[in-house]
Amino acid sequence: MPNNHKENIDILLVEDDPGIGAFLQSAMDREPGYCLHWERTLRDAWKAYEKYQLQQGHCFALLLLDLGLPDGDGQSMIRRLRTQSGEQPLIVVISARGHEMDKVQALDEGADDYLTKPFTIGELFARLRAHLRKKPVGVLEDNPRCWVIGELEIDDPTHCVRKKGKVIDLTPKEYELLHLLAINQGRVLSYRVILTSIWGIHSMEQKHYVRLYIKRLREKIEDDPEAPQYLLTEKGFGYRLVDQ
Amino acid sequence: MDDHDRSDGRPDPDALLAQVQQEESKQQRGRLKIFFGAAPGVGKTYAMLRFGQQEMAKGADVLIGIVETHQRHETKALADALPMLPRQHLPYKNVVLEEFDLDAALSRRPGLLLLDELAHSNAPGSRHKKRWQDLEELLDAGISVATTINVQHLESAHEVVQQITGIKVQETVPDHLIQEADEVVLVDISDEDLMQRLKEGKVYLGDRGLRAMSHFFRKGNLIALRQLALRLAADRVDLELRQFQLQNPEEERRGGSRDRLLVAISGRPEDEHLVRATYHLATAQRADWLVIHVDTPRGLMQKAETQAWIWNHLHLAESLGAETARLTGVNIGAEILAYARLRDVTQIVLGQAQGLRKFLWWWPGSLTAHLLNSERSMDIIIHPIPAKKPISEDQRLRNQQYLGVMNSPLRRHIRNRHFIFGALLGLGLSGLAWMLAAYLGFAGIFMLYMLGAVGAALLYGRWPSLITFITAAVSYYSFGLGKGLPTTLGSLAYFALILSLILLISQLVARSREQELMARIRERRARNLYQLVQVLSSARGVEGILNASIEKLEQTLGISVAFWLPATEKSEGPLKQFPELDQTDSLQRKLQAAARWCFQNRKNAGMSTNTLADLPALFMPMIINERSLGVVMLADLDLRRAPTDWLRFLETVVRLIAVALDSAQASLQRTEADVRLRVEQLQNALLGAVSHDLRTPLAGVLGTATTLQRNAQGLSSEDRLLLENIRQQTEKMEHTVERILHMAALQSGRLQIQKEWTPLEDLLVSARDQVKSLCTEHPFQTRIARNLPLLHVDPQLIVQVLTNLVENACRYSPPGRDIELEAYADEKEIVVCVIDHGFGVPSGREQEIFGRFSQVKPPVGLGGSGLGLAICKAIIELHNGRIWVRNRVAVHGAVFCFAIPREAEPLIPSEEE
Repeated sequence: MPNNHKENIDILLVEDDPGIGAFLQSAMDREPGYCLHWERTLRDAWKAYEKYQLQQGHCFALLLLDLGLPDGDGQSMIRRLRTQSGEQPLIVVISARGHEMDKVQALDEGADDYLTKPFTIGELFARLRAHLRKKPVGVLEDNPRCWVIGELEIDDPTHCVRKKGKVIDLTPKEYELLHLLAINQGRVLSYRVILTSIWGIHSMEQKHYVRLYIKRLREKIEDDPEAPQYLLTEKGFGYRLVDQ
Repeated sequence: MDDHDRSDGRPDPDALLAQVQQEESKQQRGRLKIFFGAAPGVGKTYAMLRFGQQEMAKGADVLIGIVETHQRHETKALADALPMLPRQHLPYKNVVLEEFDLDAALSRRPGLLLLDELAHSNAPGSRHKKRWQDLEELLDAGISVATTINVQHLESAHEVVQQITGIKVQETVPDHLIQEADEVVLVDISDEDLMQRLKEGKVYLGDRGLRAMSHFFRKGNLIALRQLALRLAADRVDLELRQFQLQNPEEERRGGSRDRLLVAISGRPEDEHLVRATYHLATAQRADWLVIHVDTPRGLMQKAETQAWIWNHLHLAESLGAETARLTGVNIGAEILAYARLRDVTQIVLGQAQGLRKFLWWWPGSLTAHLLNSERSMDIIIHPIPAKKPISEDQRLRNQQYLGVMNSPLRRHIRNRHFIFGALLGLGLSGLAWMLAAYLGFAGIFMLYMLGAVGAALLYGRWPSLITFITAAVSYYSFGLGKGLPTTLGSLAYFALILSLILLISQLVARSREQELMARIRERRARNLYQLVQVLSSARGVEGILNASIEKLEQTLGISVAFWLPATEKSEGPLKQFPELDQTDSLQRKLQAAARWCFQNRKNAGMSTNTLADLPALFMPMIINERSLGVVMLADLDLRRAPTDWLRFLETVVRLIAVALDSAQASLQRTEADVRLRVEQLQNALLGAVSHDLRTPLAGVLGTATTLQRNAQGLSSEDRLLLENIRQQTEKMEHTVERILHMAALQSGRLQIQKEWTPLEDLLVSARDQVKSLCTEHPFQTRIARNLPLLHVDPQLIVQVLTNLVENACRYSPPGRDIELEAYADEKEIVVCVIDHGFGVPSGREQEIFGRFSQVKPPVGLGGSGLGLAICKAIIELHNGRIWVRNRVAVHGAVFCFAIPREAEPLIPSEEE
């Protein structure tokens, strides 16, 4: 397990810009529970990664990876890591490339999240917390459980959803979608993941299924469906259930 | 094959096409309805006013342009019931003349204009000389007109009327107006009724010439005029029937190839008759007709008046619908035949020879004989020519305007002094012969005279050489040289033979000299044109072409040239003069008006034309593909020195300039587009690089500031505020950079849209999420139509549009006011509107604000990048949609809307599956 290291969470930062590296270093140093290793090139990053694995017996818990690096594109590192067997670190991309194509490509290569520069440090920590706490997608809980998020209760054994104590009537697919988001609470689920999990692999391109069901769910569980509190949109990528 | 088809009774496709084109041009032109009568007093004006009232009752916008009621009560009552255009007042010498106000009518644009007395000549100072020219301009402007005309005023009929009544009609109207009119109504009453009305004083006879007029109104005349009017009306009905048959092939009884008539005219005044006769022949046969004149070297030496007559006849023919041409050649008959064969002429009309030649028509050298002997495929019609008539003052005046233009160039070569030189040469020869008689002998003297006569022919031309010959011959005798001559009959014949020989040779020489002169004129013109082409093709750019043609024309033709070109791309704007000349304001205004008229109507104007003839310059339009490029103004024309056919030559010149100008303008547009593209590419590359490099340091600043804020326990509250300020400013900066990057991507064309089906609500959530930090103080009101279809759009891009619009709404609305969002769909589009409470958009700038870096006076401190709306526009256009803004009606605020085309919706997953 990547996050079984109790004391400190070791993070490898690959970033060539000294300004960004400096504040991240400083922020991580002050934040209890994090330990940052900062490398400036892909080559150094690989060296540090392998050295850490040798010394510690396990890999870094998380990689903060810039894409445009002096000696190559960060995408290559994601690809290489994800084709390796064994333990896998979480990968969060931080990049100045804001285009949707870059995001989707990085996420498809196997990155777990994508933050577009500039970002606030608060935003970064929120994402890190969500990722480090959660289990990977697709791993279903053996024991169905209950979630209480704000005024929303999801009771999996009975498939019952309540808002402020009132039962909300959901269709089976709506419940399935909400449940999928709940077990991955705080993590972004891409359209592809949602579509394959709920409608099957042959519906992978029908993104409007997801959009329509999210719209219906919001109308049922949100106070203001246009300014949702629970079902958040991750622009250009997918959806997540709020984590608190 | 073609002929076979036609004889099957199927209509000629070309004719059908022509008809369709005619119909199409008629749709843009106004409709013309003509009330047509045999004589004054039959009630045309009354009928026209009744028609006007009926149209007004149907709701048409009827306006009286000008109507003369002549104090007839019924007519006046009718006219008073209709709105009337005020007449314009033109000062002329000491009086003020009232006239129809063409410009007022054009700007007022009525649905139907009533225009009485089509044959009227306009008062001096009007734009056109004739009212029918006003009418043509009105029709061209798309205004429908009803008008009245009497049969005697028709160009083709007025000669017949003159024969019937003995009264010369001065004011005529071209026949094509009647032929092209959409409707012709014959207003007819019996001649008894007309006589009765005349007796009762109901017919206006004009202020003067009452007696002459009453002569006109004799019963015999009236019957004849009525017959003429009825016949013309019948002709017109016949024409309509033909057209109907053309459109309905099953109605067509017979096909057959079309006849084409050709008439050759000379410069005799009587040939006018020949033109009219051919017109009647052609109309009766529904044939095309051509009128030609062949210029010969001899012809070029004719009097200016003869040239004017030729011009006059050709113009008359054109106004009667003929095609005209001027050919040049030595052998008239051969030229006529060659042209006739070229144009598939079926009949050639010739005027009967006159004078002595009438009896010599069989002479092999005569034109008639030449044609009769050499042509077998065409009919030759010899038309009698009436005896010479005195030329009317009117016709003389009409000729006047061509006189100058038509001055013969060859004639200029023979001056009076050449005759004197010729005579002196003759005397000199005799003197020489007298002195040398002893040495030369008879043969020598003969050779001397021959030399002299040929020399005179070469130097001075045909007629002076004849003078030389005569003076030499006369003085030969008077010098007493003839004494030694043999006096027998045989030797006299010998002497006559020698004289004839001298005459013949000198005339042959003179003729070849004329041909050479003619060739020189042709060559000079060709050279001028060639030089112009060379100059034009080497000139660079529009200005270069204008300058080159100005220079060249001044050099070769000695005329000063200026151009009037549209100042903007729109053809409505004023014309700009090039080069700008110093002129008084009033002259400048007049020239501008003339140029404008010429530009719009695509006809010549100014001196030697019928429009604005009192101006000191001639205006010719430059037309390419039915489009006016501008106007050429030719000034300093010395019309007295201008050579034959000059106007046509000038028209050729103008056409050449127009072609050059057109291609220069086209290449200019291409270059401009090319440069624009490159600049844009460069801009985008620059924008992309700059923005990208801005992002990274921004990330550093923002990250550092937020890191400090996270551990701000040790900082004073003031420092915390400063830190917060850094964060806010950085976010604003980031926002701007974001916009610039986005615009760069949109503009470079690198961006490809990826359409997906999505509900609007989903996009709205994202958009509101983006603006949440800015729009904290504005409550949202959303009205999305129930069952709004899914949008087939690029979600990221449309979210960007919504974000920008909502952000603008927040930025410009006072805090606490609602931001409203509305969405609905019709059959074609899905429309989304964002409605704010700001101060709206300045009217007139509704389009402008979608441009790059354009902003509406932003509130202090709230300025954006000015790219937001440009981005929206670019995105919406990528989706083939449209975006617009309007101000709210009752309250302050703007409504920004965009519409996306609706597409067939995809399958929606159903729960049952």
